[in-house]
Amino acid sequence: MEMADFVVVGSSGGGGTISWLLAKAGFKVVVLEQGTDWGKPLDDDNLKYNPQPHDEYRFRLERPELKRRPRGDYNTFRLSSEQQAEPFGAGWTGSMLGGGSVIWGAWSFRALPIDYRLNTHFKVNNQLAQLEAEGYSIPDWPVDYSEMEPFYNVAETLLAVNGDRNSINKSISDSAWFNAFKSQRHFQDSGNWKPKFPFPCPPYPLTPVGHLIAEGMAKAGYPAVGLPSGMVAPGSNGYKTRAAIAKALKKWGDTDVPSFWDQSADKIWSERVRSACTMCGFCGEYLCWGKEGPKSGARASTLQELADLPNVEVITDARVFDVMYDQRVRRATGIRYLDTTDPEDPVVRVQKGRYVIVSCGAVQSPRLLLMSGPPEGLGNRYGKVGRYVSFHLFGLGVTCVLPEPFQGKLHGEFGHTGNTTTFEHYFMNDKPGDEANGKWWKAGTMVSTAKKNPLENAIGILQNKGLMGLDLLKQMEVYARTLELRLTGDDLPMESNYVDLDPRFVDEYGFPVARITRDFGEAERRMFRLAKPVMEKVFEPYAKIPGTLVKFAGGIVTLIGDHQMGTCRMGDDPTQSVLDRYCRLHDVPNVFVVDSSFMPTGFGLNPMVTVVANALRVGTWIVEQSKSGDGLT
Amino acid sequence: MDPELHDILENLASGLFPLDAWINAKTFTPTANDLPWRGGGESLTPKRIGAIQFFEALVRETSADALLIERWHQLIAEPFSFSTRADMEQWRAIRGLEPKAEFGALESENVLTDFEGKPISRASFYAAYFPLLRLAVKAAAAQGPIQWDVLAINLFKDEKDVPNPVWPKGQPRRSSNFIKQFCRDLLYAMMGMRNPAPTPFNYALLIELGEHRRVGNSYTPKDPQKAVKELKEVIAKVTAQPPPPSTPVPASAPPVGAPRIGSPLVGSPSVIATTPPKPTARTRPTARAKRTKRAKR
Repeated sequence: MEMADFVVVGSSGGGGTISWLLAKAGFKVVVLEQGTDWGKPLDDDNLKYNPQPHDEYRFRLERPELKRRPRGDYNTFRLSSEQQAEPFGAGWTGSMLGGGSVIWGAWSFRALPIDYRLNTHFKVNNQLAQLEAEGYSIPDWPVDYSEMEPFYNVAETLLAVNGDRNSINKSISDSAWFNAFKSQRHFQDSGNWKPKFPFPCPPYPLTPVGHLIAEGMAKAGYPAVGLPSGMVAPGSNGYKTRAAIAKALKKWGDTDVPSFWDQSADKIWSERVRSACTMCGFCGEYLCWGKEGPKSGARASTLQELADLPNVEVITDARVFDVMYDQRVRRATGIRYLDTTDPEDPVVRVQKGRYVIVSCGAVQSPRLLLMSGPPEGLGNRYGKVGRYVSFHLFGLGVTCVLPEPFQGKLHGEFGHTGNTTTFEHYFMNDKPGDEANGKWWKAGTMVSTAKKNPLENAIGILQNKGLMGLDLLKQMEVYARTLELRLTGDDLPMESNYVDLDPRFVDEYGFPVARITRDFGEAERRMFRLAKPVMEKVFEPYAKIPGTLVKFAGGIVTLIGDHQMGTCRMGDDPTQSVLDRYCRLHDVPNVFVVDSSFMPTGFGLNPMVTVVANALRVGTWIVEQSKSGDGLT
Repeated sequence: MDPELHDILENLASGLFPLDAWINAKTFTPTANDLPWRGGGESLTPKRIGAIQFFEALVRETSADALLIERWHQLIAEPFSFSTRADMEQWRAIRGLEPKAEFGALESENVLTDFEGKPISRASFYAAYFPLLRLAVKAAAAQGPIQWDVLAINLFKDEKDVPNPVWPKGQPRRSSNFIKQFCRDLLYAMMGMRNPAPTPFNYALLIELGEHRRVGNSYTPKDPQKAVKELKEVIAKVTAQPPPPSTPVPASAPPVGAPRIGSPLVGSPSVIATTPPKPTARTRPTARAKRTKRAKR
């Protein structure tokens, strides 16, 4: 396509979603994805799915081209700006058609209303000054939950989220922090705390690991609930996205229905039926390649729909390295990319467009902006591109090793990694037992976690513990009776945590790689202290069983990548943020960023549903604007 | 690989993974009752699992890595070798980047390295080590009948102060580098579900570990339900409480959802592809990455 209306860079939850909406609305859209399309080989065979990606070594340990540093892509890391950054093994970007939405864990939460108002919340509760003194920058979002709610409903239909809404609502409203805040005005005003829109799929089956955690939580007094996840319900007759969208349209809410959504569902979506999940266990961090993918993500939904449209072109193996910028009119004119169909012999190509939408993930999007435009980077007049990066506190959790009678009984292979969750510790009190005199600090969601990768574990023992022979084999046994409880902890934004261009290290094609500067602050350390006893409490019933071992681990500062957020912060003040409320660069209004970079704060839960919902919100606004007399600037 | 080397590798693999001894010593017994190595008169060895056959194919399969390695050597020497930007120097200067660049993928992870820390393909790696292994085996044989488990363990020991007794002296290539990589590859061979042994030998190690995930597994919601019920029974037993009323699961029942013994491996290629795949890279934390990890407060 010589001239597109929209050039979309990246095809995951943000780019993959907005490109569908815009193309469906009639715009000419070109989608560029740096990775390849791993779903393609299936088109010509008779298999229900492609088993080749179900290979723990290749697709988790070896991490070849589809994931983590394809052909030399990597990032560098340091703890502070005083240090020299070095190449490291995290901060990855899903590089395949569908991006990170193909290899995500499928945990499908929507953010809570208070997540949009954390500045107000901490101010009201006299904690903001302390947090700011500790180096945090915690703004309210320029949009609120109410504006997002109808898009959350639609996002959940695109992602075929399973779960029980009433139980989720109850887990939230039964939590101690909720009851502490519920009389506060700002809390009540933050949005609808009891959404009624049912999840489009029934709850995922309870697994043995989920059962153990649910029982432990119940005994600890934590309201446990089935984890909502983006998988077509096992045992069902498949999933009809169109029918689910129809239900979402009926529940649009109090606001006027935008024109795109004010049409029947059969105008919006095809009759395609997605297959039920077989719980085969190769999902989190693997590629579920059912022909009509049970595991949700852009590749299984919006990108499939795009294939039916004549006004869209999807180009894979296209590594965008420049958003072309005309300084005279302060507008982007398109992008330049390396066609790496033959990665040994890349070809520079240009795609012109009236608008550019960047969606490369919160590490690669700032890298692209900083490589583009004026010397300081595109949209970076105030030096905010890349600032406030946050990653969630992965690795924070408790591991429980049960004794030998449990060998083989945990069945970690069932379905995806998580199963049971609780909102009890979305905020944690620093004076347990005397909550009225303590302060509530932001934490996150706890989720049961099954151990699914025995080969990775075995190789880890060999490398890290140096065990061999019988000792190695004996240690390998332990894995099949191990389970975890993890806290997806909120990593509050700090200006000193950021992504920029590494001044020294370059990728295979000579472009500077992204440099990540990140350390924990007081809020994170506080969370580790507070989380330890409350998480261990879940395992108290099992700790009494002779031979059980329970071990707590704090977050790992370099364990980053899966959830990356905040590097192109959305806000109303152009000096303090990169994007406006519709995710346009303040400086360059025909460039949008719709991956999780836009998030001013990071929640304490998986961001995918919010990224998809926001892409729908921004896309809807673009469609409405273009139809109105105002048009897009 | 010639027959002599093939035999050496099979014996060494048996020394590294004394599966029969392990099975005899452990208390966990898989629920399947028709496992040939348990009372069926057959021995369980890496050879029987098809490990060496897989290993040989893996070395062939990854030989295409050599092309990528060559490219990376060039990038290490000249980071802008494959740059398409004619004005790179000027462009970097404008953006405040250092004039001298470095290609750092190697240090990040993903690459098998030789004794000097340079990237190397699996085929080249083993080609350099196999002659040394042959000499080590000869040296061990000269001392009497080879105890392969002892030899395997000795190959891990090559600290400067305690030189390995059989490994050729003065070698920059250390025996531990070889044996660790071989051990990793054998683990992949025995747990990766691409090994060419017949069922149930192809899954033998996973079965004995109590791991039920298989390529092609297909469950219904009844399977986890049944597994939860079994779990409750174990909890009741270990906490010395009477088990809740339930239908006992027969001892001969296979693990929930596991493929029936003798059934084909659903959707899995029966042999390793002979066409070399695209060059890929491996993940391995480097010393630098580990130092960074340790640096956390």
